Amino acid sequence: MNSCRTVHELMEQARDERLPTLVQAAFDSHLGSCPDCARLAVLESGMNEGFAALRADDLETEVPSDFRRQVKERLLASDRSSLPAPAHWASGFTAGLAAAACMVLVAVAVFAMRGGLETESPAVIQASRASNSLPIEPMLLDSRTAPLLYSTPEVEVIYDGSRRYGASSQAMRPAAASADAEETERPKVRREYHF
Amino acid sequence: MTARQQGPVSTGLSAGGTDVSDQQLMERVCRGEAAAFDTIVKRYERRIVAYLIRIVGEREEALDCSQEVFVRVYTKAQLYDPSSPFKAWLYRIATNAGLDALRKRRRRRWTSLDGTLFKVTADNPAAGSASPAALSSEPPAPAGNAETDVLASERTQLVRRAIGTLPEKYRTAVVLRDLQELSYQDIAGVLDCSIGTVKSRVNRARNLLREKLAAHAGPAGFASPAGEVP
Repeated sequence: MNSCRTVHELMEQARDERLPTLVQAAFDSHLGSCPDCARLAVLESGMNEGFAALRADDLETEVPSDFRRQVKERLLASDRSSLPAPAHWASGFTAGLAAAACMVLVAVAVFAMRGGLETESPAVIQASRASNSLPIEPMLLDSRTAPLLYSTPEVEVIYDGSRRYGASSQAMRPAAASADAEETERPKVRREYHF
Repeated sequence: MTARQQGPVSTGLSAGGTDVSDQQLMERVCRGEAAAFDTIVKRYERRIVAYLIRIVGEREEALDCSQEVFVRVYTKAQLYDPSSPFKAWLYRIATNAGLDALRKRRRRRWTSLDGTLFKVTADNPAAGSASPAALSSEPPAPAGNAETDVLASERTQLVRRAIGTLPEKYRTAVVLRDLQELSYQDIAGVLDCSIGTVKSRVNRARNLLREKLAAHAGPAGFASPAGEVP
């Protein structure tokens, strides 16, 4: 063994007495002939003895007598922190939840008005369509127009379960229109109201 | 959780339940048995405190971190994989807690109350590291005046101080290997890196230690009087 680098690499194994006999002999022989490696070995040995002393110190490390009690107190504190949020946080959370719920309701309503009802036309409307050859114009109603629709004599309101559909048997006249002749010339249109 | 079957654990810390393996204790902790958790704390409190003193350098801070470590052991018990060594898992938690403490200290030092930046001085070459002066848990000098005892004590102090001046990643590696005596594989798990990286860091740390100690070592080794580690 004539490489100082090899000796350096074997230092740890030599310390732990893990070198094979022949390698250990070559290792010792090199140390006997190389002052630099011999000095390094002395340093390594001193360092290892220092490590051993520190390990012994570690086992004697003083831990406060109330250490475990303090750990338990921290645990209790962390349990408290994992409980439901404080009031200010909870109120914010509730407000957010309410806002989210409103958004979901709006989305459902928009879906129902735009597409849902078209694809899920109730049987009563289908029957009405089948019996009436006039084209149907869907119209969206809101809370302001719905009461007006109820009060209009031309409109027939049909109830179907939870949904209500209003359908006119003839064209609704615009509020601005006044000439009867003009009305008679206009093609009749059947309007379907969803709300 | 299924506890890995293994023999009794001998940790050198005989406080409570040495005939029960760590895995079995953790299984009980998961079931909410306070006594099992108490045994875990008893078994490892000294080692964890000593380890964190080496990492963070200040006893009070190390005690604070140690408590946090055991709180995490309890609250994260369900995350422990019984097929892996408990010791590696525990030291991983401890290492993270120690490094977190160092980072917080570094931030505190860089932002002083009057807004001036902390100045890195020769006495404190690495802000946030465990300064030699902070490693104040040195045991008293041995009784008696035998020259060998004095030299041995002096050597231990030198090694202690030299470890405190190592860069964080080297200090952690060498402390886990040479003081806590974890295997390279366990250290790789603790530090979340490859075994090759661990070996490289440990080797680099030892080389740095040798360089630091060489300045104080006389021809016969560590025979020079006490002095600051360069």
